[in-house]
Amino acid sequence: MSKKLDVTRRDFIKKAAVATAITIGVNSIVNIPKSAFAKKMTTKPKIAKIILKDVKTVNGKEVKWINHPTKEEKLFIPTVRLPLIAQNGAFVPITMEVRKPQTDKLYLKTFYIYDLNNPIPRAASFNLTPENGRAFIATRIKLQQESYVQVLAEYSNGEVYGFKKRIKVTVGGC
Amino acid sequence: MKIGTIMVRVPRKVKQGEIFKVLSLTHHPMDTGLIKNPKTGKTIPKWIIDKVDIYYDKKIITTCNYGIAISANPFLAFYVKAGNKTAPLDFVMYDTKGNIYKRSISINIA
Repeated sequence: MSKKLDVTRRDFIKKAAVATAITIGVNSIVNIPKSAFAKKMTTKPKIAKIILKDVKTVNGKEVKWINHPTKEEKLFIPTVRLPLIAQNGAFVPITMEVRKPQTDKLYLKTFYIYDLNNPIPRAASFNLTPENGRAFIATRIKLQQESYVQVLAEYSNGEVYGFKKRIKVTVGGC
Repeated sequence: MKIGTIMVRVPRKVKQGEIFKVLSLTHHPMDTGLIKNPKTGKTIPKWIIDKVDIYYDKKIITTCNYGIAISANPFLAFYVKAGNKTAPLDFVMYDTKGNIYKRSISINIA
């Protein structure tokens, strides 16, 4: 019997060991439990895309967005102070100012605050008069997510200048 | 603190024609109407201050129109140019439930 099959005992054990090793190896590769891999992201996080649009008209007047202002135009464009990162979206301090002094001939009439990612884009508007002496407003606003906050300055001669600033928000508030 | 109390800070004495800063803080919840109460699951109805008028010497100098995106206990800072005699600075606030909150402070000219 042993001569016909031509299998020695040592040979048989060797081959059997190799065969079992191969089958176990293949099985282990094919039937890897799913938990071994990290789950593939199927749902995206809830944060919507940042809207890059500018506010184009306010009260039927065109808004001027100037990328490289000259020295005279810098007096009219509002300077805005905002934190880079707001840790709580419910309280974000914002100050806006125009360097041009308020005179009876030409003065700043209205400040607008816009944030297009909020459920209602216009946050507030402030009407000022020459009696203020200085065009300056400081408040606190709520922000929903990372976005561009836009501040518009309308003058008594009908011109509107805009300025926008990016801000990160870790916890939304609106 | 009662809802609607207005705290104002102004300099004790100002010179004639001086431009001085006014700080104010109002006690108000400013509910947006979008947030749910976690215990009951019902939305908290909208209740905000939507208009603020500021008078100096019985003449209107600043009006603010607020939306829902102004934070709770609204803070407001601005500048005023002093006149030549002692005059009151009045705050009048209107909210969406029909309440009116008032505060008057006199500005003393040195």
